Amino acid sequence: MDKKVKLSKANTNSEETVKKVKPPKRNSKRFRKLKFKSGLFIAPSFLGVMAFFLIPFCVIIYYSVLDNPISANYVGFENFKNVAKNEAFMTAVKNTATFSAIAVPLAVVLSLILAMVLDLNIPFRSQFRTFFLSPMMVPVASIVLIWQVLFHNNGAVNDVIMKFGADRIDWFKSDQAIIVIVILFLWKNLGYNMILFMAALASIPKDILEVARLESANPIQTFFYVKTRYLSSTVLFVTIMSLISSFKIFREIYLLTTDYPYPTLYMLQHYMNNKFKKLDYQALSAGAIMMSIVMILIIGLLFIVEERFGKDVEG
Amino acid sequence: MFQKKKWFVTGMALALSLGLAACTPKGADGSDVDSKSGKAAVEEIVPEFTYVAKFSSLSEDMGNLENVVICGEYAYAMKYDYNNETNSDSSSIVKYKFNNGKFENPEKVLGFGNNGYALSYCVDEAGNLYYVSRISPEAPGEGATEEQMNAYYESLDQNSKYHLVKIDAQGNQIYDVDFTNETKKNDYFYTNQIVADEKGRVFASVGGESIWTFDENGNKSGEISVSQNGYINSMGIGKDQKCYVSYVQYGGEGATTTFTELDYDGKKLGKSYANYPSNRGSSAFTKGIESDILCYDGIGVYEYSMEKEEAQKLLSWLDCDVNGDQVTAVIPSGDGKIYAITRDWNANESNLIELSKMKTEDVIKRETVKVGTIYQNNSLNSKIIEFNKNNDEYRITVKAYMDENDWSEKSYQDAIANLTNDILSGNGPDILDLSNLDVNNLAKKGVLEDLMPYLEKSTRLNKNDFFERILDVATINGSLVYLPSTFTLSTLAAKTSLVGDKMGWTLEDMMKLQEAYPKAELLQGATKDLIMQMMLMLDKEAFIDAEKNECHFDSQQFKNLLKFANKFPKEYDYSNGYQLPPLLLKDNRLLLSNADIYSFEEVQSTLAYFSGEQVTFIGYPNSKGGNGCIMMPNEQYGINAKSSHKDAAWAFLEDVIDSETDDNGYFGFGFSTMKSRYEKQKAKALDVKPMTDENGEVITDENGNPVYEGVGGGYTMVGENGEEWNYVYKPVTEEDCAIVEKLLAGATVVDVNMDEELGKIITEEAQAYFDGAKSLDDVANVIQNRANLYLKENN
Repeated sequence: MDKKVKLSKANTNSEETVKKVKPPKRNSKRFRKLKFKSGLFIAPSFLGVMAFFLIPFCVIIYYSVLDNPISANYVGFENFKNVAKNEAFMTAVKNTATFSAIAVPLAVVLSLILAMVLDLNIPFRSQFRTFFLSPMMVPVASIVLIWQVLFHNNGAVNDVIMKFGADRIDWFKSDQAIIVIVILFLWKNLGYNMILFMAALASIPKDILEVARLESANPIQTFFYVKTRYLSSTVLFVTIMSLISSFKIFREIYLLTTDYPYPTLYMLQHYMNNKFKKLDYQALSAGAIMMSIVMILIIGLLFIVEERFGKDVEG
Repeated sequence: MFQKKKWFVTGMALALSLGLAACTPKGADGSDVDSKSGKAAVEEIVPEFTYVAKFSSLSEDMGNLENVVICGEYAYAMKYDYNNETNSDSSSIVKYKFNNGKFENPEKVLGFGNNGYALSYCVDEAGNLYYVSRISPEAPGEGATEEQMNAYYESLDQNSKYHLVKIDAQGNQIYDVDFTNETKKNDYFYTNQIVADEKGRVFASVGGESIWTFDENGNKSGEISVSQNGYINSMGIGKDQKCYVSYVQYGGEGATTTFTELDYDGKKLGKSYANYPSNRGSSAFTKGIESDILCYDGIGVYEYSMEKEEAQKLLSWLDCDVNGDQVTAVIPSGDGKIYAITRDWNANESNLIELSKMKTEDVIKRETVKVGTIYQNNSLNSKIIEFNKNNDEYRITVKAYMDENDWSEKSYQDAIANLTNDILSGNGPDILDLSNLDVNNLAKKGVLEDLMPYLEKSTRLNKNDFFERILDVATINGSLVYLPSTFTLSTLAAKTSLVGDKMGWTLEDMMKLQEAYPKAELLQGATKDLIMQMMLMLDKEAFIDAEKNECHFDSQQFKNLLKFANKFPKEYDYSNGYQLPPLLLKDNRLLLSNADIYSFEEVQSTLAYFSGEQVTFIGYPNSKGGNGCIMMPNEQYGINAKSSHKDAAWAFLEDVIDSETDDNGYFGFGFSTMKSRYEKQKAKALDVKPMTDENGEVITDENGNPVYEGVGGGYTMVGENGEEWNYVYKPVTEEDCAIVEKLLAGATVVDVNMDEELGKIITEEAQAYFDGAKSLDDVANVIQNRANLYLKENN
C-alpha cells in the first residue's frame, strides 16, 4: 500500500515522462510480444552460454560421479574423496591459494596506487599510462620468452646477482619460483586494473571532494572516508577479475615449465590438464567442481564485503 | 537498481568461473585433441565397389620373375636362373603372352651369360624393348688365389662395359650403344630404372640421384639432377605418354615425395604434382586405368589424377587378403582388372593375384572386427590375412590412425590422440594394438577387457602354458589386459676374462670395469641419455617405490648414475667412421656388446663377435641381483571393453598367439610366450640334418663343412676402412639352447611401456648437470621434487 502511494507521488512529479514510457500491462498482448522480442535478442547469448558453459558443466557433474567413462558405474562422492586425498591436488590447492592470496591483493593495491599517482597531474601522464598498458599487447609466447631470458638459470637476473657476489638462483626450479610468477602476473595485469581505477577515480563527484577539502580533511582521510566508498564497486570488480586472472596464470607457467613444474609452481590447472591427458576425467571433473564451488564462495564473500562498504554511496 | 546490477555481476562471475572449470583442456602442444579427424575415423563410408582377389600360384620356373612390364597382350619379365652345376646364376628377359591372367608361351628375348646382365629395361607402346646391360670381364678360374679374386672384384666396376640397346617388336636390334666412357666420370655407375617416351628417347635413373637422357639413337644427350639428399623412387609413363619420376627428399620434416614430369628438351624436371600418395616413398607407378597414373605401395593401390592433383584409393591389400609387402608388380588390365604378383620369400613361392571390381553389396558379408593401430606392421598384417582366409564368420580389418603419407612426430601424436578419443567416445576399435599406447593408464580407466576369463575358458590356449612372468607383467589392477605372443631377450655380453663367469652385476661393477680400461669404449654408440635410459628401465625399483608411491632420485645411487652417465659423450661421434665391434672387442677397445636374442640362432652370432674367447652374458647392471637380462614382450593386443565382438576379437588373439607364423615365418620375431610353443621352436631349431646328394653323401661347402637343410645365410659387416667381418649361421646346438634357458631363468620382464613423462623429467633435468650448468646435488634435488610430484599426482 505504501509503495503504491510512493509511486503515485513520484508520478505526479513527472507525469509527462510516465505517459511516454508507459509499461505494458502484465499478460497483455503487448507485454507478451515484448517478452518474445526480448527473448529473441537474448537467445544467441543464452544458447552460447548453454552450449559452452552450462551443458559442459552438467557433463562435468555427470563424469564426477562415475568410476570411468567406459564402465560408467555410479560411485557417488568417491571421486571427490579421492581427489581431496590426493597429495598433488592439495599441493596445487595450496599453491593456487598462496599465489592468489599474494598476487590478487598486490594487483589491486598497486594498480590503485598507480591510478592515484597518474590521477595527479604529473608530467608524462599519458606516456606512463601507455607504458603500463603495453604488457597487455604482448603475446604470451613473447612474454614467456622474455621471462626465460631474464630468469633462466643462466639468465640476465642471475648475471646481475652474481656481479654483486651472490649465488645464482634457479628461479623456475626453486622455492623462489613463486616470486617470478607474481612479478609476471603483476607486470601483465597492473595496466588494465589501473585504467579501471583511473576511470572510477574520475567519476567521484568533485563537489564531495571539495566539501571534504573545505572540512579540512587531509588526503589520507579523503581517501579512506570518501574515495574508497566510491571505489568499492570497482575494487570488487578488479578483485574478481584479478582472481580469475590469477587462476589463468597456469598458461604462462605451463609454457615456462611444462606439465610437471617445480612443486611450488604446480597449480590447480596443472592438475586438471594432466588428468585430462591421462584420461582421468573423473578426477578432472571432481577437481573442477570443487574449484568452482570455492570460486563461487569467494565471489559471494566479496559481494558481501562490497555491499557493506559501498552501500551508502550506491545510486 | 543496485540489486539488479549485483545479480548481473554475480551471474557474469558465475558464468566465468563455470567456464573456467568446464572448458576443455588442450593437448600438450596447445592443440585441440578432440579433432575432427578422430570423428571422421568412426564415420566410414562404405565404398560402392570392392576388389575381390583370386589367387593362383605361379609355376616354380616363374617364381623369380621381377620387373614385370605389360605391353599390349604381352608381358615382359626379368628372370634369374641358378645353375647348380656351375654354381652361377644368369639372367634373361622373357616375353609371355599374357592372356586372361595367365602367362603363356614363354619366349626368351634376351639371355645373358655368367658375366653379364640387364641392369634395367623397359618396353614402349610400340613394343620396342630397351635395356641397359653391364658386361663384366670373365672371372679368374677355379684355381685363382684369393689375391687374384680380390683384384678382380676391385677392378670390376672399372673394367665393366655398359650398353644401351634397343630391339624392336619383331626382335631386330635397332641400336647397341656402348656408353662406358660416360660412366667413367662417376665413381660407380648403376641404373635400376629406365623409361622411354613415345619418340624413343630414354631416361635412365643413375645412382638414385640423377637421370641421364639418351636421344633417339641411344646416345647420351644430357643429365637431370633430381635429388641431392634422397633417392629416385620410381619412373614411368603416364596415360598421356609423358615420362614422370617420383623421388624422395629428406628434410626437416622427414621424407617428402615429389611427383614430377620429365622435360627431355629442357633437360630438367618439369611440372610437379601435389598430393601424390607416397607412403614413406615406397610407392611405384604405372599407367592408370581410368585416371592418369596407377600407383601402389605396401598398403594399397591408388589412382592419381594429374588434372585434379588428387589420389583415390582403389583398394587396400589387406582388404583383399594380400600381404602388401610381398607385392613385386602391379599390372592394370584393359578390362578393369588389376593383376598383382607377390613373392613370399619365406615360403619361396609366387602368386598371381587377379583383382576384380565388384559391387560391394554383391560381396559375401562377414561381421567386421576392427583392429586399431597407430601404423600397420607386417607381422600384424600377415596374421590378419591368415585369420581372414580361414574364417567365414568374421573379417578383421585394420584402422591405422597415423596418416600413411605423413610420418612426422605431430602426425604420430595426432594418431594417438584420435585413437584415444575414439576409445573414450565408445567408438574405439574392437582390438587395440597397445604397442604405442599408455597401457597402464588405459587399463586403469577400464578400457581394456580382462582376458583371463577368456584364457581360462579357451580350448586352444592354456593359462598354465604361459611363462608366468609374462602374464604377471600383462596383469594390471588384477586384470589381464593383453597377451603378448612373443618375447625377446636383451642383455650385454663381455669377455669372461674381463667380467668373470658370473652373470649379473651392479652399476659399481660396471664403473670399475670402465675405470680399469679408461681408454676403451664401454658400449658402442653409448651416450649419456642412452646410459640413463638403460639403467632406469632395468633398475626402476632402485629409485621408485611403487607401493609407497615414493621416489629416491636424491639418493647417492642415483647421483652415482648421473656421474657415470656423464662420462659418456652427449652425442656419439661417428666422424671416425664405423668400427666393427668384433675387431674392437678383440683387443679390448670395446668392452661390452649388446645382445638382442630373438632366436636360438642369435646366441652363436653373439658369441662369434668375441673371436672364440670365453663369453659371459653379464647383463645390464642392476641392484636386484638378477642376471641383468631383460625379457621384452613383443606384440601387445588387447580387447576393447566396449567391443560388441569380444568373442571374435578373442578368436583373433588366439590366432595371433598360437600362430604358426611365429614358428616358421620370416617375420616371426622372438620366442613364443607359450612354453609348449617355445619347446617346439627349440626342437625345430635343434632338428637340423645335413644335406645329402642323390648318393646319400653329405654335401659340403667350400671349406669342407657339411651343408645343413634350412641353415645358412649370414651377413657381412664392412668397416670404415673397408675391413670386413663375415658371419655364416651355423646349426643350433644344445649349448646354445642352454644359454637361452639360463638367460630366461633369471630374466626380468620389463614393462616396455616405460613411463614417458618420468623419463622426460629425468632427461630434461639431467641435461643441466651434463652441460655443467648445475651441480649434481641441485639436479638430483630438482628431479626428486618434480618426479615426486608426478608420482603423487598419479597415485
